[in-house]
Amino acid sequence: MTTMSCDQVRDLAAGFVLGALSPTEMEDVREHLATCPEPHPEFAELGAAVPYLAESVEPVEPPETLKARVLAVVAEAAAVATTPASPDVVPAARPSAAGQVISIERERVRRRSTASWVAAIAAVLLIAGLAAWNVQLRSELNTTQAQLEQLRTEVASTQAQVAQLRSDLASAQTELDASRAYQAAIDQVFTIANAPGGQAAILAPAAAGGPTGLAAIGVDGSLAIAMHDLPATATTDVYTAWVIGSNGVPVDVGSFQVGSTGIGSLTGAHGTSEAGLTIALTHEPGPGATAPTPPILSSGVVGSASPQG
Amino acid sequence: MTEQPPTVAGRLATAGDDADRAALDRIAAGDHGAIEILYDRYRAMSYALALRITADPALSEDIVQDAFVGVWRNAARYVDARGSVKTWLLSIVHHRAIDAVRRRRPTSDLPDPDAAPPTSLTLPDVWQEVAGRLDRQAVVVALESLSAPQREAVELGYFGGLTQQEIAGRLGIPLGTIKSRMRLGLMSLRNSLVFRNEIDPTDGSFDRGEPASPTSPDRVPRGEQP
Repeated sequence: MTTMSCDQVRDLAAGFVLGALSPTEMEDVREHLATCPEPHPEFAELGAAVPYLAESVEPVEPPETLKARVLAVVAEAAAVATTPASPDVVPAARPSAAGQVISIERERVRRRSTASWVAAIAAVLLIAGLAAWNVQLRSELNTTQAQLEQLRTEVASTQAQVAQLRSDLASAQTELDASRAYQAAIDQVFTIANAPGGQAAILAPAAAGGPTGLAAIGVDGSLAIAMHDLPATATTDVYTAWVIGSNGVPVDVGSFQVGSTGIGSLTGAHGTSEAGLTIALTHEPGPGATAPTPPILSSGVVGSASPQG
Repeated sequence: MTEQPPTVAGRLATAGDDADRAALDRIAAGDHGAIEILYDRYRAMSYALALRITADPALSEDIVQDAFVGVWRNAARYVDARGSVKTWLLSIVHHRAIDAVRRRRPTSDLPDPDAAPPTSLTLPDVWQEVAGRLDRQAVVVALESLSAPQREAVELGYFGGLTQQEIAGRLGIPLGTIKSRMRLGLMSLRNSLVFRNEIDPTDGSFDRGEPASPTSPDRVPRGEQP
């Protein structure tokens, strides 16, 4: 900031009172006037008409909503600052007697160096403190919001897991039911086989990976078959078990369907109980087939040896 | 100290100025509700001035708002010799509006000098309005007394937000010439207002009052003020 001479200041007086100087020039002029012993009457003279320029403009009513806004902002400013801050505006025009211009400036300068400093700093600190507090609040708010989002994501994930578990449970239940049925059939096979005169057979697949199972025939003709690794049946097709006696004629002893578990079983009755019977399993389009439809998927010869359990 | 001619600005102190000062005293004492008094009285003049300078209604609302916050903040530091409260308030509006215009406009983007001059300073059509109008009328007539270059320099300086340097650059005229036009224009304006006041004693809109001296306060006793 350069120190201006009185001549320089006089040269800028018109621009100053109009507000048509750069901020630096304005400040330099003020600085000079604050400390210059010269009266500088040109400022009062040139500045005398400036207020008229302000009033020369035809009034225009602002929107009605502005009033509430202004009063609210002022009320807020009143609540924040306990003391008025140092002036942030210095009117360009000082239409007063010249002698008073200097004293005003000097007074203002002196005031700045005393109580108004304290008030200004206090006001700024108060505002700064509130600003920092506001920043802190915002930061906490953002954190909370982020946590909330995280929780939402976790909840959604958990819900997805629950749905999956329910699905898994349903599948497990189905398998469990099938296993229980299979176990029941196996128990039945053992019961018949272990009864006096009971005979059992291991049904071996015709091809590798084909259906495997156990069968038992009792003295009274009771029959039980338990199979696994069976391809599931569709709507009407079935697996049919045949008993083939010494006369070589297959007799249909029962049919069953198979679900996704691959397990199938049946219990029934067979007319005779001669030794050396063959039990065979075929896949039929429906129950009640009169003769086995090749191929034979699994078969075994019933014997009196105890079945492996 | 040399004899000072009548202070023109003293006549801007209307009968309402006492009420304004009372309101300002209340504001300085912390009664921010008293702002409403000043707002109701000067909102249209403030808004119009900001609008004239910025041509931006929304920005002008902000400027008016900021100006009244400035009144609240600086009420305690308002010095009597600064003129009427109205003058003080409008000078705050003016200052903020100029600031806003300069912030908004890069220095390379200056108004077109060939554009039509602003029309708000032309003679109004009707005369029968209240005091404010007559005061404005006085200024308008006074401005008519300026030469066109002087009036242009004063208007660009006061309403345009341009610095002397920018005006000179834009008009392609030496800086010294601009300064001279501003100075002469302001002096002419002042003199014509004083002169008009002096020779028109029946005009109720102006109170001649007593010439201000260096030792008397700036405000002069007022007669009937519209």
